[in-house]
Amino acid sequence: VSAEFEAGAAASNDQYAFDPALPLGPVAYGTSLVVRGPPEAAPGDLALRLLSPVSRNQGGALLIDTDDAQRRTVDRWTAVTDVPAARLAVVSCDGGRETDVETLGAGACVSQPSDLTGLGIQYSKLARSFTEGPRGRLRVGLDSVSTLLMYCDDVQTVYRFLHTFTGRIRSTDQLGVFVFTPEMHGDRVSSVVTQPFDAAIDVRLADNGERELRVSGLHDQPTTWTSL
Amino acid sequence: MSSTPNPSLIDVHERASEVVARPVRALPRLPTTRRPPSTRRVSEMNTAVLCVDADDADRDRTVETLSSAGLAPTGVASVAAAEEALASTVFDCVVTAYRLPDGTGLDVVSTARTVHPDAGCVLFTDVPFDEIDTRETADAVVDHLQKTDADYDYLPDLVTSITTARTHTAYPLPDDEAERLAALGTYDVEGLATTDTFDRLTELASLHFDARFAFVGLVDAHEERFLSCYGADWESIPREQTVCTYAILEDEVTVIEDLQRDPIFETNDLLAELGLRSYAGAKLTAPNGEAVGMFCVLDDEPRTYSDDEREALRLYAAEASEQLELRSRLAVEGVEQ
Repeated sequence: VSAEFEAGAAASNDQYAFDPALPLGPVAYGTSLVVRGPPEAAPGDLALRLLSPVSRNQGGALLIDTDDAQRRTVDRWTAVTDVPAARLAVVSCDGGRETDVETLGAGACVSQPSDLTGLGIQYSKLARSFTEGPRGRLRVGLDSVSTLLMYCDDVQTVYRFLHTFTGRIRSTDQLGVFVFTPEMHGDRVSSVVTQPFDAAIDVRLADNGERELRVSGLHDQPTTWTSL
Repeated sequence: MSSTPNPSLIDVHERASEVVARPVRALPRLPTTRRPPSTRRVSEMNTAVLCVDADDADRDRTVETLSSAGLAPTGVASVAAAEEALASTVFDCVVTAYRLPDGTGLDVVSTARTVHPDAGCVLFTDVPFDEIDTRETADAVVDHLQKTDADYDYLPDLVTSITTARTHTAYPLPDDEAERLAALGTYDVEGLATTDTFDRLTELASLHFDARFAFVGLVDAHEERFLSCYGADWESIPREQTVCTYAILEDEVTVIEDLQRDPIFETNDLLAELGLRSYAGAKLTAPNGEAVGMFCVLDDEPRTYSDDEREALRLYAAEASEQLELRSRLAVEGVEQ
């Protein structure tokens, strides 16, 4: 662990803290992170751990899952965190029922990932499940940006969605965690769609089979490859 | 390193007399400008907000809430009235109810995105979430608030945040956007667009690179304005439709060999309508380094650019940047005298 940061450091009143087992210090309210990496490095699992509230007073989490049905999302959640799924809300993109898992805190759905207007509206709806008024604390995730790019006709529409989404996260002091697989896209597209984020967490599978991460764009975080 | 010396502008002047220009075809013109030329701003100082709501009391409350916060709201009650307002006035943000007598708020958003692509859009409604039909406007993208007391209180902050940080644009903004626009403002001098210098430079560049088009473009807050355009008759293009919007973010000369095979521009209908297939651009920079625009050569067929050609393009851009700065200083000195 790098000496440049303090993993599991106590969060101040304007920061989100992470699972102490992760080599990451707390981040400021309003921060949006992109978690980048190939599928074998499981960036989605790291995103779920970042979304997992460390303590009860750190509110809940909301995940827009473009790929899985809600039951599968809950399974993934319970596999990476002890936080009950009752503190998780999920927007799924499979056209399923609003909430089809009893243990889930709240659920909503849109017909497909290309319904970006619907995703934004359902996010607003579910955010109210866990926050008092429009400015309550909330960790918000999107898994994944790559799927949105596959379903939408043009990069600019996805960019506008991400720009709008991260702008709302910033103005309401929420935390944003977005999953992206650069290997699925060209360098230029990857460069453009990651512009709205404040910082990036890269994950990889090292030669010894261990997962590693490094952070760019934030102070007091590991900037060299560090074991997860 | 290449053994070929970089061509200087003097070389280019000499070559210009030798090169036989390709036959000039009819100048490509921009399709009908989407923003009517007669549009006006509500106020240069205040953020202009269009409030669309058929409920008189709700609309009045929204207008009053925004007005109290120092914003400049205009209230209308229908999709048709909103479209009329958007056609005649530049709005920074649209706040619209969902149910309207002649359509929905998402219809208003679609029009706003067409006429004023950079405008923020907020759906402000008490209609239950599940009754909002997004199927026809899946790419509208809005911020959403409900008509609760808490959201009425939050609305001015949200509108201010959207319009100040410009978080609804469909393209990335440079980190130094505010400084960049301030630097660009110093070049807003009378007669700049009629200066022959830039016309000579673009003509020379077109000949030098054997490219059908060459232009000097300034990337303004919402559109790119062309100071000179050889081979075409373009005045301005909305910023979200220009390649330069992305090129000003790059450190090096930007080359896109085939726009129709580029993942970002392959769906850009305007570029296709103008007959553009390849792009090469170098930044115009202010003395402090802000990228205020681009010097570009474009062609109607895919093509590559060598390292030497990229360096030559950078020289053209440097020359145009110096000319801009010179004219800005002359204008200031003229005022002082």
